[in-house]
Amino acid sequence: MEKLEFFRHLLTALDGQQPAVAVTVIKTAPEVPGVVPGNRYLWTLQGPYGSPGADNLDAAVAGLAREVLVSRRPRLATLETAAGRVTLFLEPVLPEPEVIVLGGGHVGQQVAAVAKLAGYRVTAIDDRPDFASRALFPLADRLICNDFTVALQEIAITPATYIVIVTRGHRYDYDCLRAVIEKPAAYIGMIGSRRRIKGVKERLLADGVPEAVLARVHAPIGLDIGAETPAEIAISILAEIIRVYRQGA
Amino acid sequence: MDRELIAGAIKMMEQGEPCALATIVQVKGSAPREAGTQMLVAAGGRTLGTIGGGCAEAAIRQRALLVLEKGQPEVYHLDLTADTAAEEGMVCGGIMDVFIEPLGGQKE
Repeated sequence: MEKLEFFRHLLTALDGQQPAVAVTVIKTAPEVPGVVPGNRYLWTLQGPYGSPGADNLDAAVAGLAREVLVSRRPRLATLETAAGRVTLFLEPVLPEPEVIVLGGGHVGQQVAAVAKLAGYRVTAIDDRPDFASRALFPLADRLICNDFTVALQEIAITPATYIVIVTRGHRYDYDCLRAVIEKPAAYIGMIGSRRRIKGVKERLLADGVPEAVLARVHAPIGLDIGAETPAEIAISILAEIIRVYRQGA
Repeated sequence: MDRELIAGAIKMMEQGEPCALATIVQVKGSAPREAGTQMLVAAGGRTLGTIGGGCAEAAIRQRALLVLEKGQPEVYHLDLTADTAAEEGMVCGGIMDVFIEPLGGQKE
């Protein structure tokens, strides 16, 4: 298989947000016919792309790939075959985490900047052209000027999405939270005083959103480090997002 | 997996620029980066991505250029615990296995 084709396929998997496992043959001892270091293979839930080089390896690789996908950690594995020992490196291909900033005010701008610094993809959304602007979000990967509810219907929200609700008022916070609360995002955080948060949550409860679903909202948002300025608040929010991303809680 | 790095590898292959992909496949002890970290090394010595910087990265880069010359992939064993490593100022003190693979650069 052509390496170039493999990498194009890999990039498509990364961009398509479909989980996969990239498998590379890194060593064989002694030489195993058809299995050569550098052979690559992409395992996906929909089926494999390419092959490690010997048909009888496929089943073993599929088992390992499933484990790698669950653990989200790469691993080295040595398989014993009739012809010899094959060492494989399996790495999870996971969608790039994306932070969606709802609201282009002071805090939103800093959240976008800190999220970029930490290496996340960033989408910023505001309904006011003056705020959804390149001047305020020079580093955002995507900038959307639209009604929050409409914008949130149009973009993909996946288990790799981290949503930060920092709009200018509780009416907009409500609209945003309502639009994302039942989506499979990894993280939903909302800024505001306890009173403002309580008001928004009560409205959603009245709308029929179950309490257990509301419990997943991180509000007050961010780790409690006594942050006061917009930049400090942004750092506490990203610290919380990093904890969810790296530790799952 | 780093999207920019994969995109960079595709670009180099498309342009027919030989490059080698270095992937940390195993780490023992404390090493600067974890397994799965990758770096792309172009034939001219230019690199994309980082596997920790410093002397370890420099050694891997050198080795990658050698792999490009030979045209055969290999597992490069890097021991940062040795005395020489300490003398060179590699302070992490771990052991790393790095798979280095030439990606050719043949035009289609």
